[in-house]
Amino acid sequence: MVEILDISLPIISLIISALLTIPVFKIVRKSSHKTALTLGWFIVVFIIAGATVANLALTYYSIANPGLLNLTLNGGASSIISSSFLVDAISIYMAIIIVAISAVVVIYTVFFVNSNERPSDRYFAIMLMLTAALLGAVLSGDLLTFFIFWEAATAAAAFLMMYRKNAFSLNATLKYLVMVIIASAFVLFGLSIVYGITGTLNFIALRDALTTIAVSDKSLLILAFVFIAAGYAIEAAIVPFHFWLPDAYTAAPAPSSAFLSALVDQGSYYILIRILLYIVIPKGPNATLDWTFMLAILAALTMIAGNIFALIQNDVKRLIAYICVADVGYNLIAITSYTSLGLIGNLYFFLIGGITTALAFMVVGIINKHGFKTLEDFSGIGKKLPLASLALVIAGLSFIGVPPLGGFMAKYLVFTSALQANLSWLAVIGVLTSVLQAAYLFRLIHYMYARKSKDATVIKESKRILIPIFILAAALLVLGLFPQLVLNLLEPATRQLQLITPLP
Amino acid sequence: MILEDVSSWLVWILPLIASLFVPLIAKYSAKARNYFAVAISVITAGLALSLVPGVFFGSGEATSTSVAWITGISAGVFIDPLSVLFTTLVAFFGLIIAIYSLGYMKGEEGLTRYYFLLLLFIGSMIGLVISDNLIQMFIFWEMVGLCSYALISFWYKRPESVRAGTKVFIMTRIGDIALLAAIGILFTMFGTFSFHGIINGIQTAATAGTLDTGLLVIAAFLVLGGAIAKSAQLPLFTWLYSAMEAPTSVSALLHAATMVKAGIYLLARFILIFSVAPVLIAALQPLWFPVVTWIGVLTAIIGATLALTTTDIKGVLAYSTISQIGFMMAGLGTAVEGAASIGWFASLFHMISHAFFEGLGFLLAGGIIHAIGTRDMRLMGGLKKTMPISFILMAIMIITTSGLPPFAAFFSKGLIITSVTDAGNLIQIILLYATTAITFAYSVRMFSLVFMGKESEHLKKQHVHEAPKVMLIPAMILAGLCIVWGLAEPLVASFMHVSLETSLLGAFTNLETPIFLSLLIPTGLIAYYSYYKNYQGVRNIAAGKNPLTTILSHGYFFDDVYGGIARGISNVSDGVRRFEGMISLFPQKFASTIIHLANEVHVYLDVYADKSLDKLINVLANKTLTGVSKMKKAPSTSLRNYIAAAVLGFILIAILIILTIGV
Repeated sequence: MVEILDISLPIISLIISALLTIPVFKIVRKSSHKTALTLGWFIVVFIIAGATVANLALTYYSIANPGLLNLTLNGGASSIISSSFLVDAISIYMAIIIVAISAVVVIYTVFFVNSNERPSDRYFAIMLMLTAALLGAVLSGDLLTFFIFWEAATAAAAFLMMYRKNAFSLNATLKYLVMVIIASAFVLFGLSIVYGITGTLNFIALRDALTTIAVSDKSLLILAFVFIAAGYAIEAAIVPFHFWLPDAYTAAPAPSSAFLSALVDQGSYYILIRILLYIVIPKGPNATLDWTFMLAILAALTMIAGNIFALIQNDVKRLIAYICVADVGYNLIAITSYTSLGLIGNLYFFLIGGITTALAFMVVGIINKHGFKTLEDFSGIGKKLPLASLALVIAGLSFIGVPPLGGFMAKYLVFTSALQANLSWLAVIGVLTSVLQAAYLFRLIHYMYARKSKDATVIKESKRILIPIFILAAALLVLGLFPQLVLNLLEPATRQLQLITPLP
Repeated sequence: MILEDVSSWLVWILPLIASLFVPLIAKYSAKARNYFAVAISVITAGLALSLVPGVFFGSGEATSTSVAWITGISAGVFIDPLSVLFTTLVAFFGLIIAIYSLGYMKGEEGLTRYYFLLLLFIGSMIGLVISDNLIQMFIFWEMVGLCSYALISFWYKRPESVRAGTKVFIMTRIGDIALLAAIGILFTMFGTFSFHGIINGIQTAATAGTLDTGLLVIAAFLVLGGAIAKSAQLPLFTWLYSAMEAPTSVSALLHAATMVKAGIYLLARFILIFSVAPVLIAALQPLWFPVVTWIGVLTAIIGATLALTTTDIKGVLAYSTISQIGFMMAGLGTAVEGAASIGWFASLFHMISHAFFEGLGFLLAGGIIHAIGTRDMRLMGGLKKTMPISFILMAIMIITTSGLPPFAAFFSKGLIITSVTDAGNLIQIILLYATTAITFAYSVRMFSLVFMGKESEHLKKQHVHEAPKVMLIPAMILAGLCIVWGLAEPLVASFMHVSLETSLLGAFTNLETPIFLSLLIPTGLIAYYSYYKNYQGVRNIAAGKNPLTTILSHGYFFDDVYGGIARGISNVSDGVRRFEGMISLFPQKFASTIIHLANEVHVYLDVYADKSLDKLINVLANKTLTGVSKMKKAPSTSLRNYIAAAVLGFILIAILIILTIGV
């Protein structure tokens, strides 16, 4: 049986490790094997965190035919208003990928950031804290608990962005903070209305309450929905709420961008899935509120705008940031389709999209370190930094959706689900914008290999920082070839969604 | 009826929502912002006017519509003569001030904030008087307090403005707490917040004989506490003088015409509610009503004497407001029969005429301050020549204030005095008559110090000019209303659905008028000799050091006592603060980091520039590219654009959802 302790152990272990990181760095700085020691420390941290998550997953799947487990902190009559955790296939899946990707990014950061830099200990501590907050968010069982963990995560994200404290990153962080605060206000206002109507914020209790909602409360519910949707649309950077994202990801140091795009973004899609698929049922006999058309329009806008803006970027890092925006659009198609294939496709896309953007940001981070920023700068990079360039090419091909890589499978699932749901126009837009993606990414590859560089300086490529990068690149290839590895994990999720709402 | 239903909601929601758009519009042009505020106040005034015919030709019964809001609480509007009277006054005055501000606030910094708060205030104040339940009313009650605070501290770079704002905020909070306690009591007794619900509760309990009058009397006193603080009555009146740090347009709107009348509205409303059960009125009669009258009468005379000594032109008007609201309280204190008694109607009628003449006073004072840059009357004098129109308008204002026939206050004040006379407490009657005489004296004093005599040294140094037209026209409108408003008494009475026993002509012939007029002769003579014949007797007393001047110059020591209390509290908290020394460093550091951050952002903003096309893409792609790269400039820089985009997105979501399901 899953206990509260099983759920909170990963979170607590990460918070404690974050607190210990600062004294550990004091010791590390005195020794002569700095990198080896920090690497060892974080491997220990993530082995512990991984073990606790594995413990949670194994305990959960040891139950025969597991369903949605809702664990409240207070039992009895007050349980519907108490803080609660929710464990099901999706949250377990999210917890696993969060810890795994976080581990890879942190290891990359160990090589990327000099441990002698003064605030680097805090930087690592915040990364661990952010991971803990995200774990809490995906495991939470009601909208308020989610909101609290999510606020903690966004605060941590702001610190990650402004690590270098130069004008650009401070500017971008300020914008991010303002947008996030607006988003929080929207969400809170929406939540207060929802609570006023139904008297609960618990995911499951709320869903039941909404199916039997009185007609007179319907317009209030619409108001609340619009506020909550707009709030989380800001967090998820859906067009036209996306403007903070390119600024923030471009100005942040590379590990931060990788971390944010691979993890924090996924957290915001996660809540969209929870709210849209699990709580506000759009179709069928128990329909609460039909949001599919609204989301389809936003998805189309996001894909088109994200890719067009990416097309005109000259700064490579900013270009990748816009791909992140475009990826949001592809994710939204999957949610919009409201089919079990869409759910699987969406969760699979989370993982692949996260890995790909993290990979791209990590490589671009290395290349930027040598002073190459714009497309022109990238001329001839393929010869100067052959291994890093190879990784960037893999990431780019995965973005476009070239077959053996993970991106192909992800887009295939997403577009098929759109066709299943009779949203072929959305699939067409998706495919067309993918062509656009091919245009600008091949242009990048063209610059990297077909152009001659302006100067002939020889750069010695650091090998060890490529280890985490190639772990991710290999993951893209493996997941593209054997998608069943992940899809098997996701299969229970669709069964569980069937349990609560009969999907078409 | 449908029009009224819609406009009764729009009249307060429109300004509230429009206030949010002020910053957005200000982004494009400052002029558009100013005219936007004026346009919204015009529409609001129109909406308020559209409510009038329904009430005028209706039965006078209250109607209300409401929608469910939070479980157990609804949001609604309550339409009856009282609420429509206030709504119309607020909307009309909001319009006057919006126009006046075009001239008075021209060239000030932070005007976006100003117009935002102005519209927010108009919306909240109308929301206050039109609410159909206590919670909604209380929310707006707090919101007008907040607007008042923010507008008093409008010139936030001047420490005295900030200090005054804080003082006002704290003093009015005392009343808010009392009001909240009253709301709590009423809710526990009747289980509802809505006025209709409470009226029904009182009626059923009264017929069943189970009405707990003792508890209701306590609630009534708490309500009175709320009204005292909001309407600047004894003993919490000193804040109104401090509130004069606000821009004069704000003083006219909030601290003369509308916000300070919220207390009068509250009492008038509760007297209506209480008067449904005679047994309850009987319980209130021995103590509550006399206390209201006494507070009114004492405030009236204290305010008037203080107005006689202050040298600040706005101070005179502030104390005059305090004193006049005292009259209204006195009128309400004699309204033991609810809407049927003269006192109830008289104080509301006087409320309106006071709004006209005091508002006029403030508008003119604003013009004078605008022209010569000081509020000290000792530095003025001889403005008659340089500001002739203001001179005439001010003459109308002081005649009205003093209650000379046939201007507005003659009728309204006369009704109040009649009502208090009918109640029959001799001391109260004498004090009220004395106050009317002092009112005449301080009006003449202000008038002569500002407009008569020789130009002061201060004025000779600068070129004084008449106020601009955009400021004079609102003042002229008010002056016109001051002249004719008294004649509208029968109309207003039938609007309020009360029947007056006296006719218009009766006001001239009843007993009070000769007493009143004969009282003006000695005060007039004293004023004449001291200011025109330079007879030094009175001035010597005023300038000398004797108990009377000490008391008056200290404002009856109210502020000193409050200051003592506040100092005591702050000494205690100082002790506590020493323990918190360590912790208190943190916010300071935090704030300085934020300031530093904002600075850097400001310096480096807008560095991105776009350039370059690309050979890989063919001519067609090139053309789309150039098109799009023009778009690129806009979104990559400014935070305001991001927020505007987010707002658009919000609207987009709302529209799409509504398109799919309908409302």
